[in-house]
Amino acid sequence: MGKKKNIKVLLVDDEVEFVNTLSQRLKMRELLVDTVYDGPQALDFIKKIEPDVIVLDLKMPGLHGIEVLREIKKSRPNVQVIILTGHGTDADEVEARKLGGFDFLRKPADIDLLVAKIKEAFQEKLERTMTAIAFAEEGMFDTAQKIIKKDE
Amino acid sequence: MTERDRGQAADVDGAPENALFIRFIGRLLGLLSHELNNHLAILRESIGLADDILSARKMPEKKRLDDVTALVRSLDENLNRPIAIVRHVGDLSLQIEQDATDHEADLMVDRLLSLIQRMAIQRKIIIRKSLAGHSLRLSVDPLLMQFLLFALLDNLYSALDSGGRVTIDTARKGKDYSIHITSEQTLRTMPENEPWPQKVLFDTVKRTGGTLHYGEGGGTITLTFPVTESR
Repeated sequence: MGKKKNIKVLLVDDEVEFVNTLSQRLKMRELLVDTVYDGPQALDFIKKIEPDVIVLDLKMPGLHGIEVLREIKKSRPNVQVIILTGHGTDADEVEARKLGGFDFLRKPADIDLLVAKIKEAFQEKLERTMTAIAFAEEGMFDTAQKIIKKDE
Repeated sequence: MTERDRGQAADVDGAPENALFIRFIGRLLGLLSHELNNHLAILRESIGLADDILSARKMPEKKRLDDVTALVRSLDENLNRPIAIVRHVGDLSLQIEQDATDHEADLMVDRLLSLIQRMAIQRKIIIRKSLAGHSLRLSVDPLLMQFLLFALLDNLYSALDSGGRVTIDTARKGKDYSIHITSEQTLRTMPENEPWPQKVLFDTVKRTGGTLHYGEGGGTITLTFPVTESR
């Protein structure tokens, strides 16, 4: 039996205290958590490390979360993104889903719900990656690329 | 002038200002609900974390106690800002109900700056305020003054790159009360019609008997209102 993989989560939110407290709670639930405090930091982070799931706020200084999501999906299409916001509009939700966002939660969210969504998002990433690998092994590189880039 | 008087005055004075006033109140509510919601989220996560720590049987007893004690202290500190917001909102609603000339000018400026703190934080702009502390009453309706100050700052912030610094000073100059806004950074563009149309702002200031002046490049703004009484 393979070793259980810890899910790598990146939290992106400008509310430092909120993000640090949430990070501790997720770590206590055996998730591997990194934190950054704005969009540009998140984009820099994913250049070096690919998280499995990103939990992303929308209203942040500098770059709005929707723009961050758009950039994430360009460079790391397989990474699953959950929006966690206090003030997202219905239009934001539609746009986030159109851009390939995995889910859209309102802040403050129940920790058990958030963890469940992170696990679902991770499962989605795994399945997508496995399917893409299977097609690639069959020599169907175009199909594999399409699966990887489905969210774009 | 009471809230009802204001509504009647707006009908007479014209729709543009009235519509902008409603937009101003809407923006204030949005900023405050966003900030309160963030504090509620922090409080909820902190309580949740305290519960997690108390349930973590593998953690040594002393560490659990120390961590929960630190959390309870941080909860107490985190309540300060929501309490201040609620107090300011209460004061604002009383201010709207009371006679318009029965207000201290500096207090009105300070109340607005406190309520819109988040607007600067969202744009990573640092505000330094230096209020004269004079006990002055103005002929202008304080909510109108707060609206003008809000709109001018919002336009200025929109013309600044993030990380800018803005100084807000107030002073008594002869028969006028002046609010002087200075950006320490060169503006990306002149603060023009976004988000608040300049023409309506100039017209509104003129109607109050005050003046609005932009320095070269738009980085300094001076707003004055006539003083009716000093105590």
